[in-house]
Amino acid sequence: MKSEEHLEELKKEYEKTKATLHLKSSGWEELRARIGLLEPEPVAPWWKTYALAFSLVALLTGSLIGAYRISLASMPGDALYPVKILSERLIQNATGDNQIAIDHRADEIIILSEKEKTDREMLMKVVIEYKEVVEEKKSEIQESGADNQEFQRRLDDHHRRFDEAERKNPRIEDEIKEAQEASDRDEEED
Amino acid sequence: MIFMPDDYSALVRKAIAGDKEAFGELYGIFLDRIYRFTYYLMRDEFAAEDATQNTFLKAWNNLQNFSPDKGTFQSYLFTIARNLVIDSQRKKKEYSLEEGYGSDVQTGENPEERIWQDEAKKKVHEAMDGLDGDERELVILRFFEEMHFDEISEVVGKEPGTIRVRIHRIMQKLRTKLEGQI
Repeated sequence: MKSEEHLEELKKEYEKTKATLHLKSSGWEELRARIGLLEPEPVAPWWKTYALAFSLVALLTGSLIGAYRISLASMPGDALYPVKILSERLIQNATGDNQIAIDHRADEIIILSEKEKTDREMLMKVVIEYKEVVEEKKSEIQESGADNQEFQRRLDDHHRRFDEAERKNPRIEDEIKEAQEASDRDEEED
Repeated sequence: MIFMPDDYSALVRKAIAGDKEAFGELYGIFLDRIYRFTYYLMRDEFAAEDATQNTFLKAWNNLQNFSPDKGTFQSYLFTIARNLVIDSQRKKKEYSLEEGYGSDVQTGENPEERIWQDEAKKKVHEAMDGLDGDERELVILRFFEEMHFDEISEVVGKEPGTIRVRIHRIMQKLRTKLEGQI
């Protein structure tokens, strides 16, 4: 055999050497797993993280503001009425003034009195709450000796609106009278 | 020299774009060749298995740096494999390119195939005994793997002209040795 033939034989022998059975059977799967492990998790750019956080805060704030605004038109028994009460308490705690609760109750009395079929039980309940918050404010003013002109102006406005509601719907005279009494000027204040 | 066989250039492009399955197909195409290359340099099946897997792992991790315009994918793979062999031999003196003989382990092939392969390996080992590490890798790359001189130049980092001369001398040496064995 010539050396060239021997070299060709040698080449054939070389090519007989194959990768081990282990590599053939599971080499790629093992490598694929290692490649997967080595790949870094995609990291969101810092501004995306801030943008996402800002969006979430904005969404949450928007939802709360939306719920609050809708709740302002709610009446006792409505789903969002507790939100309205909660917001009044938050404002009262923050400002130390319950005027917003007084105004809301007055508005509710007017709205209930304008309905064709007035829920008198509900109306009475709101009137009682109105009286309570008005009395609460009167006590506070009396204790603190603060200026009450703005408060009296508001009560006068309520009184005028109650009179008008009574004229329109005489059937609720009893309930409205209670509210009118609460909004009357105290004699010593005159 | 740009050498990019059409049968896997598309796979290389896909792999560069991050397609793992395309890289898996390239793994299948080059597995035996990379394994043989590392095995006949290291003469140890375990070490050759490790070097082969690490070659493909490193190839994947650095694929973004590979450009088909600057070289072939096979020269890219063989360069990584060669560097890993050299690193391994630096760490383990017993796997020296010049005199290292590792252990062949039984890896589960059927006995007949095992004997057949062992016989083939023995013949190749006998033929390459007496060649130093550099000579062995040049014989493998040029004669067994039929790589172009430009590609071998990329793998071993020497001028194509120098490689051409060296390979000519080594093949003469190999022929003389084989004639002596005939």
